[in-house]
Amino acid sequence: MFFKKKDRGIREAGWDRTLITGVVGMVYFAPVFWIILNAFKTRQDGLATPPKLFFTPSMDNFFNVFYRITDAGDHVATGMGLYFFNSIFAAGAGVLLALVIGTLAAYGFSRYPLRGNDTYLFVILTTRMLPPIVVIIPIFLMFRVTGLSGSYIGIILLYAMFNLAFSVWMMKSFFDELSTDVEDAARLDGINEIKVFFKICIPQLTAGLAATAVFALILTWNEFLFALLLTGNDTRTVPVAMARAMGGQLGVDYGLLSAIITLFLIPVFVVTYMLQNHLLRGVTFGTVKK
Amino acid sequence: MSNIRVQNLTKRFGDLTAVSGVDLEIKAGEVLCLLGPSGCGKTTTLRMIAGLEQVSDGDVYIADEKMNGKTPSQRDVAMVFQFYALYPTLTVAENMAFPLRAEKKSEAEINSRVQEVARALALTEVMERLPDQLGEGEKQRVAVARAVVRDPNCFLFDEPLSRLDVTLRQTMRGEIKEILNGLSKATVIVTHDQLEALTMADRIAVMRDGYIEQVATPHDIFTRPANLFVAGFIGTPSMNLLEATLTKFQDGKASIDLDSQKILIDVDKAVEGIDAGSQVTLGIRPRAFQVVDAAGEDTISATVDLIEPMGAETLLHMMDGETEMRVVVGREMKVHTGETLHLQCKPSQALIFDGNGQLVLT
Amino acid sequence: MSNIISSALRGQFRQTNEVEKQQSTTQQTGKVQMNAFYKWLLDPKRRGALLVTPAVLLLFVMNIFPLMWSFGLSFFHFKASSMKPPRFAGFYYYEKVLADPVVWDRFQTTAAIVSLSVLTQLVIGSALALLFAKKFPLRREILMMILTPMMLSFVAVGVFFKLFYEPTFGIISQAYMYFSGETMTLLATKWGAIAGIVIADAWMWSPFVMLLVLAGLVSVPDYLYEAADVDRATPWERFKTVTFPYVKGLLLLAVLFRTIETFKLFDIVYIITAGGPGTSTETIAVYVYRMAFQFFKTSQSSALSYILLFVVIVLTNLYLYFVNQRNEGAS
Repeated sequence: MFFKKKDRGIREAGWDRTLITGVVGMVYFAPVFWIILNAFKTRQDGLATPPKLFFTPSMDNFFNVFYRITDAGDHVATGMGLYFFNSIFAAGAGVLLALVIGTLAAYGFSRYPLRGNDTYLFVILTTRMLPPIVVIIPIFLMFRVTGLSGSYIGIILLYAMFNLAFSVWMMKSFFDELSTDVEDAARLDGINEIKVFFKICIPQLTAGLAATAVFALILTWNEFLFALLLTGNDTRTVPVAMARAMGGQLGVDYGLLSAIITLFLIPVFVVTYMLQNHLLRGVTFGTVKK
Repeated sequence: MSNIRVQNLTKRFGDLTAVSGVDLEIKAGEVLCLLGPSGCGKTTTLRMIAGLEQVSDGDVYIADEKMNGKTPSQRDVAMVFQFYALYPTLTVAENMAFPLRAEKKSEAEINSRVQEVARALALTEVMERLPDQLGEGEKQRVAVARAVVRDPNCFLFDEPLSRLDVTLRQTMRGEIKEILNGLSKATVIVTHDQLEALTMADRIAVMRDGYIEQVATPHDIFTRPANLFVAGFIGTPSMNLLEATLTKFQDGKASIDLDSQKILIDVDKAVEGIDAGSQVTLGIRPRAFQVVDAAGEDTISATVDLIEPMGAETLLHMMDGETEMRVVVGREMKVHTGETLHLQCKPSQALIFDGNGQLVLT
Repeated sequence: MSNIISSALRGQFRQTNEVEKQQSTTQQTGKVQMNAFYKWLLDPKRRGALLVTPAVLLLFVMNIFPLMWSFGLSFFHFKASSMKPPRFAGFYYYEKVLADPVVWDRFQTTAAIVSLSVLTQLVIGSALALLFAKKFPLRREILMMILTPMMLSFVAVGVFFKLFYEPTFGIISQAYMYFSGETMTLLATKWGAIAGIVIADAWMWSPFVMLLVLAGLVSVPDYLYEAADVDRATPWERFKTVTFPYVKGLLLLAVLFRTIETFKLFDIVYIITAGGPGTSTETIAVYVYRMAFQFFKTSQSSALSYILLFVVIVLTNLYLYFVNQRNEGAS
C-alpha cells in the first residue's frame, strides 16, 4: 500500500528527500551490512583494529559453518547442515498445519459467526500475545510426561499452535475483505458449499494465503525460546545453534558467527522483499489493514 | 410455470423487524419492481426469495413449489447483484459458463449458449478479460449475461443500475427490459430509483419500513397513490400535499378550506362518504396546475418565492401564507419572484386523502 | 451435504443418480444412517462450529489445557526436577511471589526497559514516517532497507549487538575508542546495559511504529490538505486538524502493541546481557525463565506466570478495544 502510485495524502518531494532518507536508510542498514561484511573476512581481517572496510573477501567462514577440518585433514560435517534442515522442516510443517486449520477457522469466524465469536477470537489472539515463557512452562511439563520433548512431532505441533492465532487473524482479515455477494452468486448458480470455499474463496485469496504463509514462516524461522527448551540434539534449530555458538566463552569465532547469521538472513531478505505490500497487516496480526 | 408467490413474509434481526408480512404474487413473464427508500426491507425481501436469507415467518413459493428451508442452489433462481459479484478470478467467458458448468451441461452446449448470450449483450469483444479489466457498463452486462445464460425459474435483480452513470443507465434500462420481455419469467427488480421502476416494471410494489404500501401498475401508482407516503414518494417534483378541511361536497365538487383561502375543486365522488368539517389532505401534482388570469372560486392564489428553470419547464416554489407549493409551468411563461399567481387545478387531477392518510377513491 | 450436491448436479446427472439408487437397495440402511449423521453434522446451523473446531481443538490441547494444568500446579508444592507427588499449597506461592521484593525489582527493570524502548521507537518511528510520507525517487528501495530489521530474528539481532558492544573488537566500542581514547564497556554498568538493550530493541522495532504512522499519514485524503490550504491554515493548524486525527488511532495501537511485545522481551536480553551485570537487566521474562529452568521452582514460576498472563490479557483487551473502535469509525 505504500508503494502504489495512487496513494492518497502523498505529495511530491524531489531528489533532496532521496538523499536524506538514503543516509537514514544506510545508517539503519549498517549493522546488517557490517555482519555480512564480517562473514567474508578472514580471522586476521576480522580482528584488525581499526576495522577494515576493504579486504580480500574469503569464503572460509561459510565453509566452516558446515565442515570442520580434523587434525588428520578430513572434512567432518558440523551439524549446522542438519540445523538448517531442522529449521526449514519444523517451520514448514508447523506453518502448513496452522495455515490449513487456521484458514478453515477464519472462514468460519468470518462467514458463520458463532455465539461469542469475538470471545473466541480474543482468546485465540491472547494465546499469541502471552509471553512465550508463560506458555512454555506447562508445555515443557506436558512434553516431558508424553515424551514429545526433543521430537519433531513435538516441535511441529508447537509451531502449529504458535502460528495458529496468527493464521486465524490474518486470514480472517482477508476473508472480511471479500465480497460475500460473490459467494452468494455462486450458491445461486448451483454450487455446493465445499466448492464455494475451494473454487470461489480460495482463488481470490491466493495472495493473502501466500502472505500469511510466508509471514508465519519467518516468525517461526526466527523463533528461539521454544526451540531452546524443546528441541534435542537432533532437532535443534539454527537460532539455538547460534545462541550456543555465542555461549562458548572461550574465544567466540566472530567470522563464523557472522557467516551463520548471513546464511540465516537470506530467506528473511527474500521474504521481506516479497511481502512489502502486506507488511503492515502481517506485523499487527491482521488487526490493522490500512 | 415460472412464478413467484410469497405469503406473510417476515424477517426479524433480533429486535428489529426488517420485513413484516409481505404478500406478493408475480406471474410468469411479469416484472415486479420493489421500490422504496433505503432500509425499507426491499433487498431483504429479495434475498429471502433467493434463499440467501432465512425467513423468520411466512412462505416462499417458486414455480408453485414451497421453498422454505431450501438452499439457494435448490431454488434455481438467477440473480444480478448490486455490485455485480462477478467471479474476480475468472474471465468473462468463464463467468458466463460458470452456472452452466454447475449444471453439468456438455462443453459444446455451454459454448454455444455462452456465445449466443455474448452476442445478444455485445460482449464478444471482452470474453477473455477479467472483471477488473472491464468498465462499469460491461461489468453490468456480464452480470446480466451470467443470469440469463441459464434457464432458471425466475430472475432477481438487486439495484441493477445503481452503479451506472446517467446515460449508461438509460441504455441499460432499455436493454434489460427488452431481454426480460423475451424470456417470460417471473422477475423481481429491487430499486430505489422511481424512474427505473416506472419504466421497467409491469407492476410496482412500494415498500416502507418493512411493509408493502401499495402494489399496482406504474400508471396507477402515479395517478392513484394509495396513501400519503406513496403520493409523496412517487413523482418528481413531488406532489403538493396540503392540509385542509373539507366543508362541503356537492355535484362532484368539494369545497375545501386551506390555510387562508377556500377552493372549489373536482374530486372523486367517494369523497361524499367523508363528513363535512373533517381534516383531509389535498394532493395535487406540480404539473396538474394551470395558471389563469383572474382569481375564481376554483383557484388558489400564491406568491412566487423561488424560480428554478429545469430546461423544458420551470419549477416555481410558491408560498401561500405558511404553506409551500411546487408548481411546474412551461418554459415560455415569464414570472418574477414576489408575483402572485392564480392556480387552477386541471380536471380530475386533485386527490383527497382522509384523516388516516388513505386515498379516498371509489 | 449430499442433498446439496445432488441438487447441484441437475439434468442428466440426476437421472443416473436415480438409476444407481435403485441398484444399491441392499446397502440402503447403512447409507441412510450415514446420511443422517452427515446431514446432522453439515447442517448450516453447525457450519461455523464445524469449521472452527479443529483450530479450537489444537489450541486447547497445545495451549489452553497445559495452561490450566500449570495453573493448577501453582497451587501445589511441585518441582519439575524431582518427581515427588505434588502437595497442596493454596495461595502460598502467589503470596510468596507478590511479597518477594526481587519480583518487584524485576518488574521495575522491565518497566524501565519498556518505557525507554517504546518511547524511543515512538519518536524515531514517527520521524521516519514523516520523512517517508512524500513521493520521491527510490522511495520503495530505501523503505525496504529500513523495514528489514523488523523481520530479523531476535537472536540474530542480539548477536549483532553483542558483537558491536564487545569492548575490544566491537565496532561501536572501537569507534568510541577512536574518538575518546577510552575503552567502552557499555554492558558493565546497569544503565549502560539497559541502554544497550534499548538501542537494539528500538533499532529493530522503530520501523514497526513507522509503518503504522505512515499508514495513517497516507490515508489522509488529498482534498483535506487542499481545503486546509484554501482556508489558509498554518502548518501547525494543518497538522493538528487534518493530519493528526488520521494518525492518532494508529499511534495508540502502535504504542499498545509494542508495550505488550516489549513486556515479554526475552531473547535480546538473554543474548546481549543474560540479565547482567549481576541481575541488573533481568526482565521479568528472563526471571521467570531462570526460576523455572535453572532453579526448577516450578510452582513459584507458574504463579508468577499467571500474574504476567493477567497483565497481558488486560493489555490485549485494551488493544482490541481500540482496534474495534478504529474499524467502526472507518465503516
